[in-house]
Amino acid sequence: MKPGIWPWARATALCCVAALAGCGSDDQSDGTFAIGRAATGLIGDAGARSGILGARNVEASDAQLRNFSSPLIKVTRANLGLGAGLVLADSKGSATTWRSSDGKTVTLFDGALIMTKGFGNDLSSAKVPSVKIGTRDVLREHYYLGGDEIMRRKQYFCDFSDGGRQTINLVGVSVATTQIIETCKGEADSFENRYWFGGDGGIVKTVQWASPEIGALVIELVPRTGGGTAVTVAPAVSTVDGTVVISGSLD
Amino acid sequence: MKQRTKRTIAQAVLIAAALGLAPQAKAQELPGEIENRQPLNFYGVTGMIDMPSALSQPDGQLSVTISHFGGITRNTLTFQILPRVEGSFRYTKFGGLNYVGFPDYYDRSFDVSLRILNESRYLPAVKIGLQDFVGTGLSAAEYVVATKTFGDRLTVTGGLGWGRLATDNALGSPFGIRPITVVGTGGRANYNEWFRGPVAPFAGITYRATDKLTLLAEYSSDGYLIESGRGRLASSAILERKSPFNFGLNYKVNNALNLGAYYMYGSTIGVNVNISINPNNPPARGSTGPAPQPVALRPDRSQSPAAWEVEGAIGGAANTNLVRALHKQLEPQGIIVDSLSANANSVEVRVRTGQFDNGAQFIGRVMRALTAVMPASVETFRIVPVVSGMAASMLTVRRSDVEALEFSPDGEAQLLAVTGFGPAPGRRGADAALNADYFPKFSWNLAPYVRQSYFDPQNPFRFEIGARLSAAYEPTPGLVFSGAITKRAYGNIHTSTRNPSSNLPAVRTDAVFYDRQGDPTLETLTAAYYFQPGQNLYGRITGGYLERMFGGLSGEVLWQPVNSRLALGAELNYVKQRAFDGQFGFQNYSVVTGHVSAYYKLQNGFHAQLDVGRYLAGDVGATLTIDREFRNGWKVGAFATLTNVSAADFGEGSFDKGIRVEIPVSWFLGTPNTTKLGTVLRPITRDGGARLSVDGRLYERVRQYNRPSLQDDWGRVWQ
Repeated sequence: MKPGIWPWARATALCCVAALAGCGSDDQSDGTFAIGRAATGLIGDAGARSGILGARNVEASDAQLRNFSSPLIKVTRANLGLGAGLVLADSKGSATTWRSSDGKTVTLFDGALIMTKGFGNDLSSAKVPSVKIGTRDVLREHYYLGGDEIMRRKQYFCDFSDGGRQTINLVGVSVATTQIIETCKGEADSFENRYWFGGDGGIVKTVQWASPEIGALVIELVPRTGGGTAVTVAPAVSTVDGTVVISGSLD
Repeated sequence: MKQRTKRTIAQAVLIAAALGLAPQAKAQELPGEIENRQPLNFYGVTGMIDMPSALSQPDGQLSVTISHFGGITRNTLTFQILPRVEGSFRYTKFGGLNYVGFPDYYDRSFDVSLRILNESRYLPAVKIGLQDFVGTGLSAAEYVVATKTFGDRLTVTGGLGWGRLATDNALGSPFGIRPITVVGTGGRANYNEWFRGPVAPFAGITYRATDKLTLLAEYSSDGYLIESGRGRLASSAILERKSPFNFGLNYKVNNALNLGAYYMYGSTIGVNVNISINPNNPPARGSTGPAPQPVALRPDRSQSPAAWEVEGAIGGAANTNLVRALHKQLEPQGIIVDSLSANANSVEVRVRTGQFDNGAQFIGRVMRALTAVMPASVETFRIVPVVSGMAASMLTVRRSDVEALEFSPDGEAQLLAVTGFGPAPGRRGADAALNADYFPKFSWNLAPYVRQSYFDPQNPFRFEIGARLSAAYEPTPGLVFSGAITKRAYGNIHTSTRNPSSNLPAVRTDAVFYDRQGDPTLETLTAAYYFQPGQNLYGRITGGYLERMFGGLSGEVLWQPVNSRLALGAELNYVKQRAFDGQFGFQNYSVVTGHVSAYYKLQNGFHAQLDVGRYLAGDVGATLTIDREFRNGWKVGAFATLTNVSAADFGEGSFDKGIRVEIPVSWFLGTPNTTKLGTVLRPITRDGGARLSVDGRLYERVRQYNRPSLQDDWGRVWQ
């Protein structure tokens, strides 16, 4: 071996050890290498279509989702076309929180998206109007945390209109719905949310704006298949002002 | 007359400084501002090609520019300190210049510029700038420049330059004769030269042809006398200056990277690369780690009275069970419960984290976990964040508020309004249960390390990588035995053949001997005890091998009220210089060194620290450090130390100064992480004004949980 090569060989060997190691009793190690690992992770996972909701893609078929043993929603990022199944993590009256396998959550209030967590560029909180056809110029407020760690409010004025009757494919099941369209205009941006109501008056599917980076989320209530019998779409509970609870009891 | 001019200029600069510090409304959203930011020139400052303009970068923008033409390579770090103030540090190589005894001449320089007038409908932006104002003065110049933008594509700039920027086609000397620059040890502000001597006009134009491509042209007033061999002192010609005109194009690859190619001075091609980042524009805003557990609601009291019964659930032995339950909730998230003491109505829990760099997020997680664990009757949560065994503050919040605000619009601000901040009781409650699952705690870590060394004339960038094995043993909160060993794997820091000379005890210039002889090296081996002598008071005693070059005893006290922006501290050390081989031996030199310190967190995001005392070489003086601190943990700052050591005894640089940058790893990752990347850049390291580098200094540890810091972090309290 040439004398000049030895230090390099030694360095390479140590780098390998370091990359593998960076180990200890705590999960803290040198930051430079943490970033390195994260970067390699991103590249490595790109092929596996990870990082959708940040999460692994839904690998289950629609039928498997429908057969899942507990309440489930399917959330798809409209701009990426990738989705995941989220399980019900918390239910407090009108507010339900759904969690993905990698810990991202969305919170719905009577079916309206009020919070996302763990995505990055999240919708921190929101004040949302009731979904009612004919309502015009109602206020909607979104709160976003800035890169400077300051919470900022974005205000929108929204109109609700009738989207007509539609038969949609809901996670592999054909469902008759009526659609309500919410059109919102803000100072700098505008968006459109859509809500599909099933035959019993509950929201079965909705597309709602989260943030400029997350984009719109397509949220579908996964219908439960009872052992070979007909599909039953979850009965949603109507509240006084005509809005609905998306979760309810699905059993 | 001469005196008067000087004063007028000084006044102008002062007024301008006042203008620059005045807060101003945000005209544009930050992402858009970054998208459309102005190009940086060959000096790495906002401008055209070799000339500056009156425009600025987005507030907080941090850029590194590497440019090369002729034999000249400039590496510049530029920071938009305030919306109107831009500062730069530059390291220039004049390759083959053969100047004042150096074949390749290396030069370090600082610039600062101030926009004194914002652009308005009819008036241009106006900026006043100092180039190389505390360096050796080789690139020294001053300028006043005006820029008008037309639409969002075209800018037109005209300016007047002094010094280097008036070495071609000068108009005359309006403010008197410029003293001859003495290329000396540098380090002193050459203010007697500012705006003196000949003045010459320069101009430029930029046109954004597309969103990515900008075309630039300029007329330069820099004659490049020394570089073309026409200077006062002998030098080799490394640039032929045939024309004052420069042309070129700048291509934006993305928001972080710009590339430029130019035809310079009628004779040569120049290129420049600019990498830029804005602390307020992280890859992802907010946290991307796993979302928190939901707040658990208590059962209705009228329907489930049993759940609200106190007996058996609270006090004494129950604390032990509660600590265990809470530990189970929090430990997987990276939060350690030190102790817990509860009664029927309230709970005081002491918690620490090695995971969350955002204090509010950490507290928020504890709050949520308490709702899941505590019996229904416990209404008041007192959360005490602990660092190194010291209780840094106490946050008091009503459980009902936590329950009510979880999904509220703007719930962060609402929770802040009902959270109390106060000092923590110095001692745990008498019946507090210690977390037996955690203490005594032994931890170890094997990880790679990187060290850099800058500005050695033989090789300006040296580095070293290797492995560091560290371990710590904490028998009880506050008492820590720790040590670290490093072994080099590859590097060229130790191959430096420089033999430093110093008129002072070689407390830092000896570093080169430690680099050469100390491998493997015992970096540290210490016992440290942290304690709280009284309310708002914190103490530390550390003994052992404190740092690579010194060992001994170090003691510190800090006064820091929870709700205060001001803190005061004092530190006293007796240390002896360690042997070069990095093992257990000592050399003869010993010193008593210590400082009294005042720390103040300003309202506008700046932080000031003043240390007065005796330094390692026995010199007496003071250090002033000013940092701009971003709420997400970024820090960019500068420091300077003046002591009773004369400039001549200090040597090159005249006094100790430098800049420092600290970047939290969490900013890149989006996930909570307490690791920070940091670097301190000193133009030169000498023995005057050198401070002991002891681990565990109190201020940064304690203040992360005081009210001003937690309020800055509060946007993540529900994350």
